[in-house]
Amino acid sequence: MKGLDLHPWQQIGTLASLGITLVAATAIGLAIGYQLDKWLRTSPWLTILFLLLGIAAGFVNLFRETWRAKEED
Amino acid sequence: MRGKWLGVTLLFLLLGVGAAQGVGAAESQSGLEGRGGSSFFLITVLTGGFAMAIGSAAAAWAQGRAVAAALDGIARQPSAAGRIQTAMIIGLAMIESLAIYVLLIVLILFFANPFIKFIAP
Amino acid sequence: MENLETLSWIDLAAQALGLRAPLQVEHVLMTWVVVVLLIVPAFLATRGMREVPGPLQNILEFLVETLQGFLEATIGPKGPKYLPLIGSLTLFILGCNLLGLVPGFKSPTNNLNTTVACALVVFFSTHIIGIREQGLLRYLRHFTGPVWWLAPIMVPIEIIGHLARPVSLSVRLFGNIFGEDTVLLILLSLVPFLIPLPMMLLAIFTSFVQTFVFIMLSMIYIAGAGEPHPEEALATAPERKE
Repeated sequence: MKGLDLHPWQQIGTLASLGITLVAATAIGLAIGYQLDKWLRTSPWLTILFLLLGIAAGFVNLFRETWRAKEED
Repeated sequence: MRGKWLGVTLLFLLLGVGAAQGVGAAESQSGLEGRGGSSFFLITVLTGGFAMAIGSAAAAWAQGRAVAAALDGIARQPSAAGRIQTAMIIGLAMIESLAIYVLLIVLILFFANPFIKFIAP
Repeated sequence: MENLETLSWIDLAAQALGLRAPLQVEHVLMTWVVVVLLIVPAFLATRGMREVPGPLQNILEFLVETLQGFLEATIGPKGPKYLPLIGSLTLFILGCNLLGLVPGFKSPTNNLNTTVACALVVFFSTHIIGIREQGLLRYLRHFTGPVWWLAPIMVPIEIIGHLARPVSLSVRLFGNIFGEDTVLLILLSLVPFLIPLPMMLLAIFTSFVQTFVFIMLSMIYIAGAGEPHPEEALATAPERKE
């Protein structure tokens, strides 16, 4: 199995990606929901649904990264 | 000790009142000169600047405290360094995401403002 | 005003070539400059390759060995197979970042288009590599998550998570390089004499760090595309955790 935290430098990569990936997932969820709402003309419900999905996606990503880091110990 | 916090709060209130008066003066002046919407841009820019500053400052302060606590823990027990580092990285990522939320709103305000269609024909 | 007034040589050259005067695609021109600056030393270094290398060949060999070390440490034994992709991305992004420090030039990564292009290359590479390593059906099965009854929620979550990767890659690189270039521009227009020097040192450091972060994350995504998610591995083979 690959040693993910072999270099201390690799943690810089992980750290740099966690914060902005959380926000990027939320923003993409919001954008997808907003566009689908404008296209299908359903009221704000799709926006809210996809926003929640985006937030969940961000957190799932966060937990996967930290699970991978925790497995090394 | 309590007097110090009272003084700081009073100072911030005075600064806020002064800033609001300044913004009001600038707004009335630019509203008199230009079109009806030029104060919109002024307030947008001011809000963006202040929001970014406060968001970054708060996030930086919180991250500094988190890193300091992690370093204390590692210094106290170097054998737990790996676990402490993992927990610190999780905490830093969550705090940093809050600052990036502020950046996202400021960028939307500046470059993809949804209310600008009411101002600029 | 150094950058602003010497950028007009690009506009003059564009006018001489017959293009429209305030050139909107300066970053594409700068990309060509970076490409030429990368191809010429590579061609010169590999022209007469010797067993005991000369200086230029030595530098490039050192680069190749460092990248191969990173690839093996991150992806595993199949790592060095992806050296052309990762190596090209590294040198291109590093060259683009550092070009903005030369007076008269702008970083192509100053512009969101260049960074999105690099991030899209990585995005499609991870999917193609994943499909090639695991087959289409098993790769699509990743999207459904650990248990089958969570699939309607997990598929949009996975898709959003996968889409967040190129967004985060491109926006991080763009934000950092655009920020440092803009600060340099403002400093040079205020006090051109000695004050921009610490900022330029910081800009060199940031260029290297951002390149490193970009390729490290690309390697992590490529490595993650070739194997199941951690919780899937846990669900299917719980004794493999030790």
